[in-house]
Amino acid sequence: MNLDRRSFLKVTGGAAALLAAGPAVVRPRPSEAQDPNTLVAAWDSDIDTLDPSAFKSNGGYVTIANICDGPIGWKVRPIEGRPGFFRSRPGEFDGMLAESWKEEDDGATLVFRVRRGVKFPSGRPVTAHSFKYSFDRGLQSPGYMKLIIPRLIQVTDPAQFEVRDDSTFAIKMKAYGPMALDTVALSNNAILDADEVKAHASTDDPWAAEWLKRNPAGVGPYRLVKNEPGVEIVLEATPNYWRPKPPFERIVLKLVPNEADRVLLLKRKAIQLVSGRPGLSPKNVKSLEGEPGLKILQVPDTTCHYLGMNQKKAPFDNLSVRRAVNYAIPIQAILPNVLYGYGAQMKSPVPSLTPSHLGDYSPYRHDIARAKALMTEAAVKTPIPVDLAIRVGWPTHEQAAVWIQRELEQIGFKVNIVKESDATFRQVAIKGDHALSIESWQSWINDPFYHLSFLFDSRQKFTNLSFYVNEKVDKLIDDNMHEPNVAKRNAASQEIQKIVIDDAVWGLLWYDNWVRVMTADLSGLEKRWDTFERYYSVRRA
Amino acid sequence: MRRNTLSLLALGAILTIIGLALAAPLVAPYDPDAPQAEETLQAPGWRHWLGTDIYGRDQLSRIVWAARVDLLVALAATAMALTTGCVLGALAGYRGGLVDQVVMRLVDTIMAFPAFILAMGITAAAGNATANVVVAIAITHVPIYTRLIRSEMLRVREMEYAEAARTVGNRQRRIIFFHLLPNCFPPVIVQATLAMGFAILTVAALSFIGLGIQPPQSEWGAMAAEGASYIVSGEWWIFLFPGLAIMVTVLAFNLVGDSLRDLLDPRMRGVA
Amino acid sequence: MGLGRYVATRVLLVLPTLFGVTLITFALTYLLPGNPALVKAGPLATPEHIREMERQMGLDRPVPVQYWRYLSGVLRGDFGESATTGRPVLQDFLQRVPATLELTLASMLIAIAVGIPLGVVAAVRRDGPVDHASRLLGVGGVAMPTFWTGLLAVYLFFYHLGVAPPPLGRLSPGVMAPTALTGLYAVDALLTGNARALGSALHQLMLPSLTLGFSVMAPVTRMVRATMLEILESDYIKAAWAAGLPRRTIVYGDALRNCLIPVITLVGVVFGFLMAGNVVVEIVFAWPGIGNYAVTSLLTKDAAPIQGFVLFVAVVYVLINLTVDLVYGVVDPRIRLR
Repeated sequence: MNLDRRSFLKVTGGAAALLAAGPAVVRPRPSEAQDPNTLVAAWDSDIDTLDPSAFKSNGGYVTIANICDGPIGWKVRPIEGRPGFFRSRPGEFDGMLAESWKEEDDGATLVFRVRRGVKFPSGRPVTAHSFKYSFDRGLQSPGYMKLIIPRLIQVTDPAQFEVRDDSTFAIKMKAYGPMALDTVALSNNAILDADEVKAHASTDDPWAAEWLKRNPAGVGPYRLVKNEPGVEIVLEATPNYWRPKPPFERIVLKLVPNEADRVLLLKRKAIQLVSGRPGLSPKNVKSLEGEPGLKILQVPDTTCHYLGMNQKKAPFDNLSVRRAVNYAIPIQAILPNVLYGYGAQMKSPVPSLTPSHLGDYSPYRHDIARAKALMTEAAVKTPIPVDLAIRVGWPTHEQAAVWIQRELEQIGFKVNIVKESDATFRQVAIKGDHALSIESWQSWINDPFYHLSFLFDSRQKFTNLSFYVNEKVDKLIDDNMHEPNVAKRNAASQEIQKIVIDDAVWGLLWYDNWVRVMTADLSGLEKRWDTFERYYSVRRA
Repeated sequence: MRRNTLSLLALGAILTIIGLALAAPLVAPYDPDAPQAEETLQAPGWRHWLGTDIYGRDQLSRIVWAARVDLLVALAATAMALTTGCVLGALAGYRGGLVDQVVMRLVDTIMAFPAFILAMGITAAAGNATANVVVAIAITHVPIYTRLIRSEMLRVREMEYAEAARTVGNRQRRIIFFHLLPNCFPPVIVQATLAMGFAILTVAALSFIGLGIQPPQSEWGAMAAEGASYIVSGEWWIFLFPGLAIMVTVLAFNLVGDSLRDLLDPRMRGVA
Repeated sequence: MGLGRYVATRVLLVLPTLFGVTLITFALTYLLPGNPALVKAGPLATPEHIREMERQMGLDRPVPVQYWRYLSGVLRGDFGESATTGRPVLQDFLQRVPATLELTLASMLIAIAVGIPLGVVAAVRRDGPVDHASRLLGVGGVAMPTFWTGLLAVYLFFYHLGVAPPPLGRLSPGVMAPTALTGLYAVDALLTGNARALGSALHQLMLPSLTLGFSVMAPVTRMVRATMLEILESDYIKAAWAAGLPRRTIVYGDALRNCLIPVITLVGVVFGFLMAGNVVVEIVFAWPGIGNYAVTSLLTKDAAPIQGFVLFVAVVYVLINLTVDLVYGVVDPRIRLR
């Protein structure tokens, strides 16, 4: 003990000196020899449920995406200039448990050919009946798919999901749907072992939602061998999978709640990858640039971050005020000092990667004089006290809030930043009690109307959090949601974008880049529209 | 004696910190809350003695301004706890019987929770406005004073001068507040000094788990917690200095509290 | 007051306290902002779905009914279900309590193993260098925010010096947990003779328990020092001096033994500090204990685990203090008069 204490004191004495020396003395040491077949990643999420059609935590989604295949998936192609990395492109798909598909009735019916010889872990084969059960369940059990299926592919009756024979499954939509294949490619459509699930159903719980919460029932490249909440999730390669064995036999996802720890672990190569919602803030990613033995993969993404202005609340019911706010946003300070280059200025509410994005219309730029003039025009009494709500645990939002606060105070606001936990934030937002808040949104389906309908349709009370009401916009959305003519559809989307930008519905902030930091020997990472990693393709270079 | 030198140093430190906090607008070289895009993440140097943070705000200025928040929260919480505790304790100790029972059961219930856990629960439930943080800390401190005063009261009550006052015909309330209470003060003052330090630490820990004082108001714990993510990238000053500020302040309060204990109430020496 | 009566009174007094505890626990989560049904229903849920959730969770009932449901659930060992892990809170708890217990015990061990000798030496060599050093060290330990010391320790010992393992929980990656007997990895590994797991478990425990132990050492040292001083000045020790007994016998025999009795009371105090410190330290070191669980739940407004955590800690704290009081009452009859 004595020895311990003495060395402890000695080391503590050296603390200041070491700290002062800073990164100069940082000397990463190779960690203990890693098992070459195991990938160790750190993140900050638990699995809340394994039910594919339910809303899930990030941990739940990523796990499902790796242990349960769907009928089809988004195809990935190499990222130019980043050898060894891949990303999805709009409108391109790969067969998964469906080996092929075709359209009938001018695209109103989708016919899937079930891959032969694939078996669930129970030994039962994957058939068209498994497909039907899984889609029936999605349509009828509470969760995400129940909302999405009727809206995006116009299926309201389970009879529209049809088994033609053991290996042919068809979806009969009301009409052609531009988003149909994207909808089928969602990880929520994992194909389930119907008999297995049915065996755990009851009259109270006809879709076995309780059982599926904790029990996986599909087949994928990996299987879940350990789920210890708060500690780790372990995935192992599925024996006799329909594709060749993945390069990494084991995936260990360690729960590391503290971001500083995740950075340290990465620097010391105790882990190979940081995963998760963002996992690392841009500032920390920046600090890892040029770190020997590490590499950073970043690609532009579709995640939108915006300043929500509640139009039911004064003074944001006033167009001039909303425009003034847009001119007051110090985006030129936020991009380098909050995002450190890992993001891009938002020019339109429709992300730059989404078809029909209108990048050259928005007049807004940082111009305090202009903003002040608009505030005078608005004739509101200043100072205006206002709460700016942000979520706990979102460092970029917190940082942006500080920069924005200062500028808004210059044009007559008195801003009080309020940090709320995720749940509180959402509840207050839905009730319409946020006046000003920093919101974010990512569309899993990279389609302008999926995006616009959630965010600007006045009937979307839970996601149109600016409470924006414009009948013209509503009508444009209705008319074009399922419009087969791509040019017409895109033109309508651009028209909506113009209206929404003119109306200054959002304070335009930024689009995030999708960023992963990993040890230099990793490659094969794939970025799909939903941002959930599939570890199947990850390998050592 | 060295013990005294140390205590005097600590007292000096407290006075200095209070002085700096009061004079913050005069002393702080920069606006503590104004982000400066050109000045972000400057290492300590001539322009910024303690460096700047990711917003380019001067750390020294923020630490000085933060002293106001930290001291005020600690002082308000302690004062609130002290007053409530004294009244409850005096009543319980002097009246005894049912009042005593009710008060003591209440106190027991509060004491059934480790202080920080209760403060955490209350701030989470009530929302982390500064006032709620103060109330949460105050509630967790009430039992100490209540019990201290009550037991002192029991002791003092039996003493002769209480007897004397009673025979002279003083009214009960007068007896409690003018004759007995002042005699209970020494241990309470010691406790209050120590509680100041404890309150500052509680605020810091609450900030670390995301429940402390709201940004961008500077508070030492929140500053250190924020700086935690930047040590690894070499920006150690954001983490180190606010932590040191906490350490020095709490250390000073504890040392002074210790010495006061030795001075005012030798009986209490060494009791936590 | 006789011993039996004392014990009975003390035990009976715990009941109203425990009742009060459940009231407070319930009130805290009832007041917690954010609708738990909304959390459970997910981000795009319809109003009907949320109302259905509320009905299922009993949130549409009057408050006293909700409290009664809560209380009767608790008595049956039903603490509800966690929204973040999708499992019963009790199951999550049982999985995590050993981690917290292991950390708490190790920290307490360190605080006592270092604190007692330090206190004794400080008293015997009063105002000597050890006395001053221990005072500064002790007061310094309490004066630093635990998360600050913890992060500093991670940075120095893991990152710079490489002597500590990564802050990745209870075992290094790749080491299998020892056969579960007590749930305390170090103990289990020792009992099953699993050297690899033992080494790993102790190594992982090193930093968090030092951080935590260091932060609670002060009260131990201070109390030991004060009691020791008091005893060294007492009549019987003076008599021993006068009788010419050897110094060693007096100090380390009589005085020390008498001084350890009051130290028992410290266990309660130290435990309280440790529970508080646990919350923060578990986050810093990704330690999969209940403190970590509670904070995660707090941030996601997952009511059931928070209720469970606060209740659990309070009940354990009450029971420990009760035990301490009882033990003390047996050892030192004077206390029964209070």
